[in-house]
Amino acid sequence: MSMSNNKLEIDPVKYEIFTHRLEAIVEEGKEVTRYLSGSTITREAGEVQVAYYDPSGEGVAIACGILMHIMNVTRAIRYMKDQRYEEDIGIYEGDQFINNDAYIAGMHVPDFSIVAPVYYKGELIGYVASISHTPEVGAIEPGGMCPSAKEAYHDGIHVPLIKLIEKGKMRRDLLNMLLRNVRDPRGMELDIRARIAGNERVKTRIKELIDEVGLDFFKAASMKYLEDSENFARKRIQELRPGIYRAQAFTDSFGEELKPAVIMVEMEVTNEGEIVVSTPVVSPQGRCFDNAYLPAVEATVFYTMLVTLLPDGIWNTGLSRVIKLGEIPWKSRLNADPSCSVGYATVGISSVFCNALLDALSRALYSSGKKEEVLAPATIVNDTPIGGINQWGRQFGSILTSGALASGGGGRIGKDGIDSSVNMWNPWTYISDAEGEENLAPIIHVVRKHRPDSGGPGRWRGGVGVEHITMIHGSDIVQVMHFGGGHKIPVNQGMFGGYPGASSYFDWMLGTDVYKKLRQGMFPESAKDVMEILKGEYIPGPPNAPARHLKPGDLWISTSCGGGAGIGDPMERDPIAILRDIENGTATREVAERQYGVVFDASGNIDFEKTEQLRNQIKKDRLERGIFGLEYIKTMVDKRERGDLPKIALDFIKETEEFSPAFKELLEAEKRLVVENNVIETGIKKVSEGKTIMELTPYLNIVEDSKGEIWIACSKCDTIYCEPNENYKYYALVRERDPAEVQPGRLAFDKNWVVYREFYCPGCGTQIEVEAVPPGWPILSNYQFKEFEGSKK
Amino acid sequence: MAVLSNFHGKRCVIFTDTGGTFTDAIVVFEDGTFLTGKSSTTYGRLEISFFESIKDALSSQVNLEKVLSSAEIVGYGTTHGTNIIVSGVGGAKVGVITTKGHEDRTIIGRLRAAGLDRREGMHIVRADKPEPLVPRRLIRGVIERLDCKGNVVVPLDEDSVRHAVRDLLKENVDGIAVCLLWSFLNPIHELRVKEIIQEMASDVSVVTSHEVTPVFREYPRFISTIVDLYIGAALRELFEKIKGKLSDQGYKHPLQILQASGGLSRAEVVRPGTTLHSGPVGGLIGVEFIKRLYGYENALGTDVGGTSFDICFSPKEGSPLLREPIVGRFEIATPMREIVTIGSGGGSIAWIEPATGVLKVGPQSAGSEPGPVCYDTGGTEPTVTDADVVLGRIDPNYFLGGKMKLNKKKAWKAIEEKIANPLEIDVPEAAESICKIIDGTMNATLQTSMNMKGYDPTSFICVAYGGAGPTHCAGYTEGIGFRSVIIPPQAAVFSAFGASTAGLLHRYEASCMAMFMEMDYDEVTGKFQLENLTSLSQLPSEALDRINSIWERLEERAKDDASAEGFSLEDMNRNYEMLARYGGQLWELRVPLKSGKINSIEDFKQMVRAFELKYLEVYGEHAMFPAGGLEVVSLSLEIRKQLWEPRIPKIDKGERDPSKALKSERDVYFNEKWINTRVYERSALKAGNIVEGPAIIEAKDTTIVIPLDRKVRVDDYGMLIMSDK
Repeated sequence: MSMSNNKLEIDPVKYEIFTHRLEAIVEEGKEVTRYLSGSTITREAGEVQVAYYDPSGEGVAIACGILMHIMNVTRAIRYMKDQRYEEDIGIYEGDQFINNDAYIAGMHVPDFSIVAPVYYKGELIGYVASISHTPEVGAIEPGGMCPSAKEAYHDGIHVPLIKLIEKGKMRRDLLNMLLRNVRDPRGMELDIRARIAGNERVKTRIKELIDEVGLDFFKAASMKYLEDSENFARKRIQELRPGIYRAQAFTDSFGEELKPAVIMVEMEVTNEGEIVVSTPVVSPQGRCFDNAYLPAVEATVFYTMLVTLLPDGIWNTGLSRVIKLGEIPWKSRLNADPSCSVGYATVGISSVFCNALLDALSRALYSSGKKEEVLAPATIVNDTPIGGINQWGRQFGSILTSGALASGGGGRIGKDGIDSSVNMWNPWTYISDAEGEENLAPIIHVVRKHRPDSGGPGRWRGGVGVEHITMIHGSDIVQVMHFGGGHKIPVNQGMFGGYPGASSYFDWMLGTDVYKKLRQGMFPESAKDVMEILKGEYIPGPPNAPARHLKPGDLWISTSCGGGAGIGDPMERDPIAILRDIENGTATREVAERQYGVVFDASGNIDFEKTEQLRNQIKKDRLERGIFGLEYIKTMVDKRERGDLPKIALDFIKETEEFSPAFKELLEAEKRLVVENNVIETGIKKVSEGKTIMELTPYLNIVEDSKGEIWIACSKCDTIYCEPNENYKYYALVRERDPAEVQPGRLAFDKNWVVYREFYCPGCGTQIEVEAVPPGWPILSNYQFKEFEGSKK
Repeated sequence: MAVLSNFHGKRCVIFTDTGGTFTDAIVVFEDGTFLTGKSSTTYGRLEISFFESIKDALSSQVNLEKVLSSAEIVGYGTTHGTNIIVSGVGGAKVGVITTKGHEDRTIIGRLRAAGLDRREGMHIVRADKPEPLVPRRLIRGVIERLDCKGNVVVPLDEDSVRHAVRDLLKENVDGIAVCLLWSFLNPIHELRVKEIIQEMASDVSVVTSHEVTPVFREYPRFISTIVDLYIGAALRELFEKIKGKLSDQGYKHPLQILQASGGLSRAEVVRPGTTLHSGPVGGLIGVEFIKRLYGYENALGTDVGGTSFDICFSPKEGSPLLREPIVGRFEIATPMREIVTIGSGGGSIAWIEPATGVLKVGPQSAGSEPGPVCYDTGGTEPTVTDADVVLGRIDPNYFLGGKMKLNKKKAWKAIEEKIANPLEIDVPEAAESICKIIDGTMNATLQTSMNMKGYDPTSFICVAYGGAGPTHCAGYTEGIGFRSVIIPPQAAVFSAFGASTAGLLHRYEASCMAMFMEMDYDEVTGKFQLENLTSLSQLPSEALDRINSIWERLEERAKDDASAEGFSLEDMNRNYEMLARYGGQLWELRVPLKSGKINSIEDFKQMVRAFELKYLEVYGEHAMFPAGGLEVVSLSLEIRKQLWEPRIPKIDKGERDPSKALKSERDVYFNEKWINTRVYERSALKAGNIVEGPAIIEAKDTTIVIPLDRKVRVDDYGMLIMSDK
């Protein structure tokens, strides 16, 4: 029997077995590389990938510990073609090429890939490549993700696909050059050798496999595997409702200083079962370490889709035939030119992009009837590179993954976000042991615990993150720095009435008497305790902190792992879940009272009756205090014109307007809207005998009324908002709030940078959406469906 | 099988295994004959099914008391502990005292997706953390701190301990797990916390993490410590009940418990955590028995059951261990023998992937309920067993020796509708494709798992067992090049049989974190230059002292346990191992050592050479990294004692021609055509018979398929040795 595959006939049984073998081969190579690596982020966080590529660069079988690099090496192989390597440089059996130029492939400088051509009986039949993260790359600061980097040349050594092994022989001169350029040559060499060993293993096995199945079959089956991946993905995408879904996310991470940036994502689901992702609005590239090159953006799109829409799909570049990048503006933070630093591309700006994309995708999933798949945005990684001489007298350079990866996931429909373990780019997130890190680096983790109230409030709250107090111990030659974001403005947006996760920070406390106090039994459990109990120089900091030389007893307090975003109106949260959170240390009573309208009795239990009364009162207040969206826009347009906004917001809007024609058009559109809608109807109409055509959000349905007219209406009280392709937010009640009213104290963002724009149902006061945006920012329209195009307005 | 009346008074070993659905028993007599029995597992009162299964094996003709009084060993393997962890039901209420500031360690977890398969783990929206074994409200921190060298940085604040204990006692905990950071290097604080708890509440059980498993990395160590209490009480209660009844019925020796490390320990001393996932290890012990029987160096076992394909390894240096195995959704620090498992078995469902039209088999399984279509018990999805029936490989009238009639028509129809029609092929072709895919999947797993470990198949024998192992072993071993493939006479009950051959075993492991940096090395070979070392004084004394003191500690514990089992340490086989790596690496290699303590520079050199040899074997010379120096992370000592060795009876000799065992002929589908095939009765085969493929050999509990290019030789023990023609 046989299946037709264009030209060649493929035995389906042989094919199925072949795919198992090929997957097992790359998996074996990946494990070899992972186990031999000396990098925590490779070994413990699993940041490693080994793959087999066909001669054109299509990744046929990809084994990854993390998903960031899934499409990356394809670009490296294509670069070799474009640069005529075969003709000018020579590609021979036994060669291996090393690359860490993120403009070619990879996400940032620490991502080293080694690409090896595979020959079978003299014919080049493809490539194997292994890619993993080596923290120390000789950048301006240790660790390769440097807040003080302002251009690519501060990011460390750039190695654009250079031949490291020629015909099986290591070029020692080149190796020595690489080792001479980094602070931890041993770590660099260890990782290089680990990748080479992984490649060698895969090469051997591929040849064995071809011996078994024959070269023609091998080639044809590889092609079919790519097609199968494509078909699978297409079919899954066809389950989504065609349309355009929009979302946005912000960040304050820049470099040594903070500066706002935006990413607005437009995700189009086509009738043909394809997804096109573009970012019509995005901030311009900057002299900072938080830019990304296009390969990083591409990688982010794929990993986001893999862990949400396609967890059971085939991991190869066949996916790129149905999931495509649309326009990503050139010289923007997401498509920077090669002179820009991209140190924080991986888990900084790209993760912000992922958050916006996830928001858009979750909206598509909900409106396609896949509620249980909805996942509110997670957060970004704030982390602590550290280097110097460790307590064993050995040079070291590392990233403390115990601190970085325990982030909260976004809320879900019916469930809270997963606490302290979610990174969208790595389903197998591994939270290192304190002992593992304390053995490697001269530190003591004094405190590592859940940060209460850090998850975004909502009916289903975001997962909480973790906070740390870490001190230097056992060495006085140590440099520590920190990178992160989400201090002044949130990096995620709540969905369907939920809020973003809380503000992150990173404080130093230097020259402390911590040893003495600890011996006296005085234990600092929180940032507040540190200030009250310990003596020393306290330096509150934003999350991006350039390197400092520290001494034993110096410490830092960080909320390295942020919280995920919440989903749904917090007034609908089950009070029992709040009690459980308080008991588990994931919430505090004081903040819960403020966020959820719950009333506790004297013994700390919920007073259900009073809670219900209070929540009803809160909804009434919303109806009284909210103004209609169109009216709100009017005042906002006016403020923009008059410059009556905080300077930071005004400058940000101006910068975005100048860089982005699409953003300019959004501002213009709001102006036109104000002129066209001089008289605003404020009456409330209810839909009668409406038939639900689709559930758009938990609180909004698209309904057909008895006259055959189609509306967006409240699913709780039948209040009509507008026609289906209009922006329902214009017809909701809006109220702008200082974030500190919702998340007090150090949980709060800066009101000059961001306001919480709450949208309520004008009929019942349900909070249907929250936008966490800079003051004066235009209101986003999240949906556009082809099926409703051409309706009246 | 032998005649029951012969058994009275014969020495025997009884082994019982409590599984999720059934409890199995095997009674093996000194002459190698055996009886097997089965009963439904009686949840809540597992001791009932324990005895029922033995009674079933003996049937009504033999008196249980008589057999028990002549039993040398009664062994017991149980999933009880595993079930408590997986279900979260029946565990003790445990409180935890830990280092202040780290109270959330076990709640935050380590690998969120632990225990999930690749697809489940990828699907983040559904890949929640497990419910913790100890909820946050039962975890208390105490002020104390050690550093990574075991030095006290913050002395234990005893007031904070008393406060924590009072809190936990108020919550009425059944036991307290003391889990402090770095305690494995210096137990001073854990010991003091334990004393304080015992002063305050003498009736509360206390365990400390350095006692349970004194190893590096706190998450798995803490979980192992919690598990010790969480399942401990329930297990001890069960063992007590069984022991009481056994001695009432005349059994004179200790009840021996099977551990996942591959050996027995008496019920009084066994650590609860070692019983977790002990079920599949019986097969490995059986493989080790076969190795001893023939004097082979390297062997592996392949077990095909209804839902899974399990591979275990027994190379000459000893069976590999999983360092931090996963039980349910938790990583623990109690090592287990490595069993590689994939979801391929007789019950694996064949299906067509809708988007690509590709035929897939598994990982979903019809299990025993509803079971394959041919069982006629409600299954509607075609399975591997259905394909075997359709192809004529399994005789529908002789399944389980004819005890269960299979419905071939239904199996045929299911394959026709669900597979053959959509693929536009005929039914036998579809059925053969199902078998080829399942065999190919198992084959790929087998090859990869050997490759990962650097095992050379030509020096290994492969033992095939489990209900469906003999049916599929020709397929899944094809092209691998094993020295031979052996199908033992006890194939269908091989795990139970194997467990009955288990010896005593205790394992100890402790981390020492000893570093030998700055050793000279040859840049070309990548090897350490040991010739320059002439005296131990050239090495860091701190590292040497730590290694030697840990060896002393481990041997001390081994001595105590050996004497508790009634032996002296000298009576036991001792295996020394270290976990070591190049400095700077983060994961360790397990290296067998000839001896423990380093008394001379030669001992040290031997240790380093053993590491280099193993490293080269597994990773090759490109990966050598002597610049990092050598780091010895942990040491382990294993003591073993074989208590009993069953004799396998030899069978009668016959000629090369197996015709006397021929029972019938039927059409069997091989390589896309129906071939008239001879069918032999296994019990009638004689030593020296050679059965050439194509052929089928039928036993009461399994069917052996010999394709065209294979043959089977019957040896003196009645083992079937399969090889290429």
